[in-house]
Amino acid sequence: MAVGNSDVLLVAKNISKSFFGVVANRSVSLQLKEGRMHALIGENGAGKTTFMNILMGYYQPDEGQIFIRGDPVSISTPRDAINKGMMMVHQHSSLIGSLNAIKNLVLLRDFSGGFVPQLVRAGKALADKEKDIGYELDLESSIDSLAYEERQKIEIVRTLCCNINLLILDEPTSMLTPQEADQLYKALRLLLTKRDLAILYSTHKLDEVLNYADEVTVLRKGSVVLSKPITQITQTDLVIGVAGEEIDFSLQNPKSTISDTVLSIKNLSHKNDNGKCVLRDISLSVKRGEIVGLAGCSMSGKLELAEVIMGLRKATKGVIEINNITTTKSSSKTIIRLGVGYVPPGANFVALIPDFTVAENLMLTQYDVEPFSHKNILRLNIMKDHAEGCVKKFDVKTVSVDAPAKLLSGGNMQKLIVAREFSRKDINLLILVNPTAGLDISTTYKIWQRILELKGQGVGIVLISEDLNEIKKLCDTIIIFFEGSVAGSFPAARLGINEIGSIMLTGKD
Amino acid sequence: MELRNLVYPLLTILIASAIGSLFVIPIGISPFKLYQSLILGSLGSIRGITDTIVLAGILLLTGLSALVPFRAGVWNIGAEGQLLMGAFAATYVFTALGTQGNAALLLVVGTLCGSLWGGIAGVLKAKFNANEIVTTVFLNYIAMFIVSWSVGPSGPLRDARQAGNLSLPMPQWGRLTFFAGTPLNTLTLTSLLLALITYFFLSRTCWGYEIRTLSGNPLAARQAGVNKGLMTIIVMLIGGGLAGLAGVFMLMSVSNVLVLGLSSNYGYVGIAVAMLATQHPIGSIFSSIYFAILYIGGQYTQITMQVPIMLVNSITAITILIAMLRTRIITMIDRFRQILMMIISKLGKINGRRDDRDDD
Repeated sequence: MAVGNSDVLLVAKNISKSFFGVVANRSVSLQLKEGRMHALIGENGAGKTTFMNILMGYYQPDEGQIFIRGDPVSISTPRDAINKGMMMVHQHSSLIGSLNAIKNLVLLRDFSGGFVPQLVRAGKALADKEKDIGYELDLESSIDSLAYEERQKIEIVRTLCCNINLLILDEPTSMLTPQEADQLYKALRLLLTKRDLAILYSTHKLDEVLNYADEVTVLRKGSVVLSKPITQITQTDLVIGVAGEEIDFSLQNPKSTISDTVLSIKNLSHKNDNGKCVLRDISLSVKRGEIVGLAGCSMSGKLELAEVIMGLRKATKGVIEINNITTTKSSSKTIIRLGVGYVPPGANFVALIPDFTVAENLMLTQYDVEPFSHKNILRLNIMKDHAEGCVKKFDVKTVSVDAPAKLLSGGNMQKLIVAREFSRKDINLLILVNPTAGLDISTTYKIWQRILELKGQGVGIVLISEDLNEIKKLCDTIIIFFEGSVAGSFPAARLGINEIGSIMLTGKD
Repeated sequence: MELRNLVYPLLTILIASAIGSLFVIPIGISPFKLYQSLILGSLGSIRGITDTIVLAGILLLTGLSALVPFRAGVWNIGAEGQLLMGAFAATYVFTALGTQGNAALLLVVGTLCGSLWGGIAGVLKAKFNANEIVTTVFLNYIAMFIVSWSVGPSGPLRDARQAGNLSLPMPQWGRLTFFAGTPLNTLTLTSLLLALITYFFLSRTCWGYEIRTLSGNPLAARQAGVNKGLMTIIVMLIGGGLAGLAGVFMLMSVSNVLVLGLSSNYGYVGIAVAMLATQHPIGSIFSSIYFAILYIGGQYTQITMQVPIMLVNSITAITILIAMLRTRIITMIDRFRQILMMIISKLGKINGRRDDRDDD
């Protein structure tokens, strides 16, 4: 390994790390070069985040050494890493919730000096960077009031405003639309031409590796299985590298008999807290054994519709019926008890309780039904048995079902939430928002297969996703939203992905 | 229960005691003598043990009164006022009844009144999102004014034969007696039983589960359809009731009369009891004994060693401050354990290498 090479910025040599006996990184070696984008990929829980956190000084490696420009260094705190010119965009936002984007930037970088007030200068820096990438962000509102997708974008833009020579991004695109992801990578490319900089990023989307990376390293179960320039690698190499075997990309679409209507929405309108009409006169229906996909741009109202169905927002007009029962004004609890499952956007933040055990988290939407509780008393043994089954069936990587959920990796948290809703016995209707966000390819296919199986069992499914490929693959009917209204409803077979995209942007067929 | 949750309270007490020592050294008192005297005063005699156990019962109740709301993410700073209101209601009833009455009736009335007092803060939070820390603190003042008025110069509960501002004494039928030959009474049993019930309620019932989701992640609780407003009111009713019960027991076993100074901050120390026990009902049993030792031992030490009671009280305060540094202390424990494991694994390796050589 050419440690002395001039354009090599950082070398990690034989980094090992384990947590309470569980190996996260086993002798990982990697080098990052200036002017290059280096992709780090691997299954959920393969040790990507751990490795990045070691580089940033959040953890100390049990073994191994890090060199920067040939000199051995020890990075004992994140502050050390920042002082050495390293910066990281986290999978879970590291922004301060009560402050706005500008004040969050000032936390990272000092903008004082001169006559212009610090916040004004920081605001300008953010606005410039935002324009460079092509995002439209709300820089003035406190982070808490923003959607998780928005927070991720702010976190990225904030980091780019700092003087850095090594940028680490941990699944930066997991909550972005494909267009936004493209914008990000183009901006990163542009940055590389302007500055002496190395970039390390992780992702589950192989396109983002093949199209933008210069080099790629694949981790499996904590070890490096592949580390090569992108030119010497094919998509199949990556798939086999990540999964350890060839993945069966075929999906069995079971014969389902589409029968009675499970969800019916008539002339539904909704105004949000600011009084803006975000849903206008929506009518649609979902039958048992049918998958209806909702596609639309980020402000099209599709996410709000999911929350209105779940009783988390109130309709200002119109009627919702679930199993022929009017639920327009019902509480979330009533709606859940009608057999409605929900995987929300940003599920790891809003549908999981970090300090609860894995088993307790798997109860969140069914603790108050038989057999998990009887006359208000929880039955811990049955809960535990159920949890063991779920963890096995959905391959959630955890030390035990009694371990707190906060110890799981991001992808495994997502799997846990999907497992919870999919394994409910009383399920009639599933509302899924980005169910495979942050999941690796083989897990994504497994989840897709399960969605199709549920459909075969007569569950009605609403699939809301940023991933048009996912919608196209699974849905029977695709409904496209445009600025709060339905722009059109089509049988899935009739539309190509490009056509869907064009209707999403223009609202016209 | 994880090991570190046991190590943490012990470490907290150790650090607080060490810092407490720094306070007494300047006035020429040996810290060892001080702690010796604290233990001697609280556990060194039958009288001391009895007082300590009785006070621990009271502190356990106020501790649970802080703990249950806390597990729903609600801060009940109002145990002090709820305790006074419980005692006030019980005094009202026993004054009205006179020489014939039933102690159980007093307990029920006091619990209900404390519950009501806590419930006010619960409703204000649930309906108007009024910060419960502020409302409970001010409800404490109102409770103090009510008690102060009721036993004051023209108050309805004042004992006219006495010069001071206090009520008629509790009649014999309402006073607690100790079980023959033991320092235990109904208060001890009731508080222990309630700690066990609280534990069961929080960890094994649907309501307890819902309560815990609210402090765990309010967003997830909302998605799961947990009724936050209702739960907020319920935990404040429970918390208030437990503190009200403590107030009645104070009258029955310690003071026998209602006075403004009925509680020496026992309501506030309840928060410390819960914090030190990492919000665990069973742990609260032990932390209530710890704080009772400081209280009773402190009174003894004031007399025997002329150490101002304020100094001992400051140890209570320091314990609360250190207990607040929970995350930091837990990180310390974890770091220590990591270093220990690393040393063990290194040692193992050296041994391993030696074995290799043996093979050669």
